Amino acid sequence: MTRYLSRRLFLMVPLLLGVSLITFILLYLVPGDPVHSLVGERASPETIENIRRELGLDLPVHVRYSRWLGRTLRGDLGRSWVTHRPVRESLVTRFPVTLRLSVLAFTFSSVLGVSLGIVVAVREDRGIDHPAHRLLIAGQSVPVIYLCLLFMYVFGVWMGVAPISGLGDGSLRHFLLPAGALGLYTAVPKARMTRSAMLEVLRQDYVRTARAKGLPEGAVIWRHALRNAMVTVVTVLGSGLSNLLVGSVLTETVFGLPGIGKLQIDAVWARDFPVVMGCFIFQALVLSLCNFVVDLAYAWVNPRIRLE
Amino acid sequence: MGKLVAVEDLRVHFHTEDGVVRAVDAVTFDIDHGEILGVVGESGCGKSVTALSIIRLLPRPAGRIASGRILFRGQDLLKKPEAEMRHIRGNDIAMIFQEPMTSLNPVYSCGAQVAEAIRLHQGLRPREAWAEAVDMLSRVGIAAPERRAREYPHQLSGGMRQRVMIAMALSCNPRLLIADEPTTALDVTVQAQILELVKELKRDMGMAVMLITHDLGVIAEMARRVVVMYAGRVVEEADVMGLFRRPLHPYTEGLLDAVPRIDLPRGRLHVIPGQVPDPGDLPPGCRFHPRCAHRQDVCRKATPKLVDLGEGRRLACWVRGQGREAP
Amino acid sequence: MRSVRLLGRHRAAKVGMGIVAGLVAMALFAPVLAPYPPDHMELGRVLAPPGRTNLLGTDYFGRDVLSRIIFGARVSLTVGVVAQLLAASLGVTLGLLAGYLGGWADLAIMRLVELVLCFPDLLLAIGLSVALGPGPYTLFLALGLVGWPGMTRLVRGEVLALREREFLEAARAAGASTGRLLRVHLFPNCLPTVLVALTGGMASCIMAEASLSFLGLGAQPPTPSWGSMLSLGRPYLHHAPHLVIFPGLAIALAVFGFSLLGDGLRDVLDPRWACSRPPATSRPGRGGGPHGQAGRS
Repeated sequence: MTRYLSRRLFLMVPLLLGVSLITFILLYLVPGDPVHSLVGERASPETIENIRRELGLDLPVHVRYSRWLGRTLRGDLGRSWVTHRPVRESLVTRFPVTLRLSVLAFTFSSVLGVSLGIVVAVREDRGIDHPAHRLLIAGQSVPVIYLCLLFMYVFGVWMGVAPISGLGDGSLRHFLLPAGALGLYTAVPKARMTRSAMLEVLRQDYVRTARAKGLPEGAVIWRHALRNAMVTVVTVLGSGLSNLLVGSVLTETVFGLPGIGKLQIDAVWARDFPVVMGCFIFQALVLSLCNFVVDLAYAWVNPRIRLE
Repeated sequence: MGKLVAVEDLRVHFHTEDGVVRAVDAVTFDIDHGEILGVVGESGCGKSVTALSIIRLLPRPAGRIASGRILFRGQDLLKKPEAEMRHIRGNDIAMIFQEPMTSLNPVYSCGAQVAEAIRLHQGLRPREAWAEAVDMLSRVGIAAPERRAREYPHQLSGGMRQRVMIAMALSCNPRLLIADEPTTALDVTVQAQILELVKELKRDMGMAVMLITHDLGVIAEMARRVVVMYAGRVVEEADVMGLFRRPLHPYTEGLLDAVPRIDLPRGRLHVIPGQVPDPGDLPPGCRFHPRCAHRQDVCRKATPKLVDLGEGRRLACWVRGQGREAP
Repeated sequence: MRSVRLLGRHRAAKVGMGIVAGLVAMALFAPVLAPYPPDHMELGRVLAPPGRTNLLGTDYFGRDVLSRIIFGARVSLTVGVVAQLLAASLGVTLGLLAGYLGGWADLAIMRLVELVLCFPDLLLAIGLSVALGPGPYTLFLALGLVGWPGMTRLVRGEVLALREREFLEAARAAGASTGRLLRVHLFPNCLPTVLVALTGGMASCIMAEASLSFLGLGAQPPTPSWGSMLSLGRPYLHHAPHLVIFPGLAIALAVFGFSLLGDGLRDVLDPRWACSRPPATSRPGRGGGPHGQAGRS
């Protein structure tokens, strides 16, 4: 088990390097000099040249990358070209918002998705064609931005139960709608995958064995089937993380929540190279760490790995 | 005292996209207290479906018992409410399956799985049930049972897992053990050990065994009486000695000829020509007629009834028996 | 043409086909179907609610929402088709090469695939559209470059399964060149898988296009795109919710149609699904879903 986990941890290194390299190359390709959009069209050529030199843009790309990497490894993500604040500082102030939104949405969607998946699978196994399954396919077709806007309209405008947008005083109320929309959005794939995992497990021989023992149906499902389906469900929860990340970027933008995603999109608009880069790296790091936690959980529910 | 189990005119239908498949059709047989009844037939002949019907674990929603009665100690199992049936499963009737590899739950230790049945049916406390489970594991010939009980299925060999399955099945001292191809997936040497174990435990505990197999060798070794099934119907029933000495149904004959034998001069291995019919598309008349060397006109038209020939022998054949048409 | 007949019997696929056919008709005959030109501004009728003159109401510039949705189908479908073709040509080529050549080529291609796949798809698309700058081809390229790794994976798997089959041996023995083997023998065999993936990919593409356009990184303002309609409607949620509700419905319906069609095609074309179906299951459309291969966003 230690070997399994250390290998997982080790695999993160080339991954993060790859992500940073791809991002760097992408941003290096940005057409039009970013300096132009920084200083405006009317700046003199000398000013532009000075700024270029100051920002290190005149150096060849591999030198810039290795410098950037060296600094990043020391924890220095550079400064924003627009606000001149250190990128790390922006990330640190913005992260709690994203974290709060994601944790709320993740909890909501896991509970909802997994239980919905189980219910649908058990019903279907009994031969009752559950309309919830059709609803799930339909649900997966709703874009998160639309879901957010609908939540805003229904709960915010129409029923007026929660604030529509912005962080306000940062209280939980302001997270209700975004977390609800994001949670519902990420719950659908979880429900579908839990359902198919459950259906698969319910067909297994050991479920028949459990029934042949005379166990009540509840025990068959909760103790025998679900415990096995959990092995898949944990991976499902894990694979939902990148979905959650993408969703949180869009949700933050729609609801105007000042989180990492909003920071990133704003930086993309402003062509604020260091901030965009910092966001990407930060997201990749968080995602890898979360995946590592998922691997831990996976090892824990699966005795084959736990006992290795 | 009546028979332990009497299956009467059992019909099981599977509802599929392509229509209704009659997997088991008018099957009748019984099992006496403490006897080993062999059920033989090729795969897909309905023997497993019959077994699953007895403990009412047919795959839902496709499989449905269309008609018939299954009397267990005189009571019709098909009329029992599910709660009562649960009490019977594992307690009075236990079952072991073909695939020991997949029949045990991979996320629980072997001991826990055996103890679960004991706790459920005997109302013991966890600690007592665990002790009982360890005891049971040693009874099925597992060395170092305390250690094995804590191990997970993937750590055991196939034979070992089948022993665990047997321990689980027998932990509540059932009256009937249904063994569905218990040794098919195992090595030959392990097969013999497992069969010997079943025989021994049967002697000690006095239960009846319904042994399902496609291997006539296993039947010869174990059973007293045999039911031969083909395409969802019983075609012949006899005591083992009689069946081996003088098979009546052409299908039984074919099965026996297909077993390689050491005591006879070496010749060509016989095979039954043709293939097992698709259960969704059964031939009219006697279901065996397309493959039968002795077929006559009547075989094509009407289904022969299972007729009692006396001395525990029954046969469904127009040619070899005094055929009568099935209703 | 057994597949076509099977598809006709597949209820979900029929619904999907109906929706997709409707979309295509909408895109093709947009000028005929739409009551107004998409850019026609009726400044006297700004933010009008749905009614007789404007079935789905008008936006802030007095443009007819229904007409813009009808013309928007053009944007969504064009982006979807072009991006998917791009993803498919890149993905299939690399998948064929990786599967057939094996060795270090396989290793290199698959490492690249894994690397791209570990980027959350929409973030990669955002990165790409920034790098490519705003322009008509940006969406095609960004979404196409996001979609290929999934395709490569599928095709490679298919090729690995086919590689050792007799007909290939025979063709190789007959002296066929590698290029010919790939083109004539391997590619047609992968086609069903590719078709299924393409259809599912259309769904994700439409979704991603909407999200990118919503963020302002996709279709630029005067173009009637469903995603940008959502972002234009957002500020008027209080007084003119129809600006958001109807374009969103259009997106969801389009994605739904392609998903259903993809599911149906998979059930019909993919032999792994068609043959291994146990008699007990009577309903199509289980598990997975078309969203596995490319992105959801």
